[in-house]
Amino acid sequence: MSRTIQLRIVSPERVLLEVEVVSVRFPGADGAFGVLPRHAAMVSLTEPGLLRARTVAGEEVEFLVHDGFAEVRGDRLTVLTRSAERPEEVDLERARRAAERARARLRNDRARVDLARASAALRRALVREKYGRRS
Amino acid sequence: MANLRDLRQRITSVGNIEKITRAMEMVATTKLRRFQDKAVAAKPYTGDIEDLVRRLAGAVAADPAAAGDAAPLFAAGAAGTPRAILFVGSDRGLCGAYNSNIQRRLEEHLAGLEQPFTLYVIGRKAMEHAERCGHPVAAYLEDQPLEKVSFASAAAVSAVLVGAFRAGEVSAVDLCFTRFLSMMRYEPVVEPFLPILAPAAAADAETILEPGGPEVLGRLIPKFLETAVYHALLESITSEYASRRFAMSNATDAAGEMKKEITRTFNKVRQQKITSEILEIVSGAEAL
Repeated sequence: MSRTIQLRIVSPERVLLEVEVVSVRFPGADGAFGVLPRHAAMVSLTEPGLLRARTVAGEEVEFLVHDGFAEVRGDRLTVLTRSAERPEEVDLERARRAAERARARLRNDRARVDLARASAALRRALVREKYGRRS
Repeated sequence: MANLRDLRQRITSVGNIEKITRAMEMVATTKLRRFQDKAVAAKPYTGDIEDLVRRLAGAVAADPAAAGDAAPLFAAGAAGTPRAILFVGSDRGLCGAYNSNIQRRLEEHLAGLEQPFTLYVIGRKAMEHAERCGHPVAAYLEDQPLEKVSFASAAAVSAVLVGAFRAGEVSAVDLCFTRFLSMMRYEPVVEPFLPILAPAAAADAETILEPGGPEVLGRLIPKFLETAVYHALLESITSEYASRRFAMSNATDAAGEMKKEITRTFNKVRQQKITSEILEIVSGAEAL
């Protein structure tokens, strides 16, 4: 088995990233999750957050991922997520508005809104705000 | 024999129709390509999700509780409740036999059903058909136009179907849509959607599941269903445009053919008119 990992980030609409890396950290269900080559087969949920990988050439790759799955199998790590973007691609203004909207929805008519959906939207927006700003 | 002015008018109008159908053909070709690209781009995600489900869902066959929140989706609904069918047609006409093909397939399927059914309809033409036949319609999903199909809109459709199934309103769900095989081949199909048939293969016990099997499957299964709907919608709209392109190209050819035909008649009539005029003049001169 090789000493690198084939990292792929796939959204329903297209393949976003396909690169050979030596290490990956992604936001798992129970906190950050590190994967090195020769990791055991695994399927994990991912939460909204920042995925970081170091490529074979030593570069850092950063990607914002949202809820989905990460699958390790052999020397491949596939992240299936509903959407993902590079930190510099984040539309901060839009994220801020989305966060406000979600907050307002959670605050006002708690009885009527779909709580799970609204809080998921809020978390996505917050993650975008947090990591988008850094670039 | 038709008169010259009528013929000239018909030539112009057929020519205009030809222009329109040619333009529609070109529009359909571009759109077809766009939806095809979309379908190709969606393949990896679908493939990976299906792969995951195939490998992980084996555990559910032995123990339904292993699916967590998604467990009810594997069990058949109560008998007596209707069977739901998602019926996907087009919003607009002029797409050849596309709509009548899918309608025929639906009727075939309905004829084979023993239990009551109810339809979830996408597409104006599909809705018109349902109304004409007096089929019970649970919902007309007109706020999810196929023209703008995206994963999010497919997820919304899936949520409606899964919601009805979970609530026990329907005992099963089928998808009635058109499968896109190639530019020239598209096939109306009916495929089972819910309950999910758990694969017989045993779960891959080697795989670590984080945070745990029920949590992973609980989230994976709904995603899996969403991709299935996304594909059904995407393939339907792709087929629609393939069919429309084909129909419009035929119409353009037919219009050209017809124009040729009428022009020939036109020339013949003109020729005859001239001949008879000359004859009249000549015979008039001879009489003198």
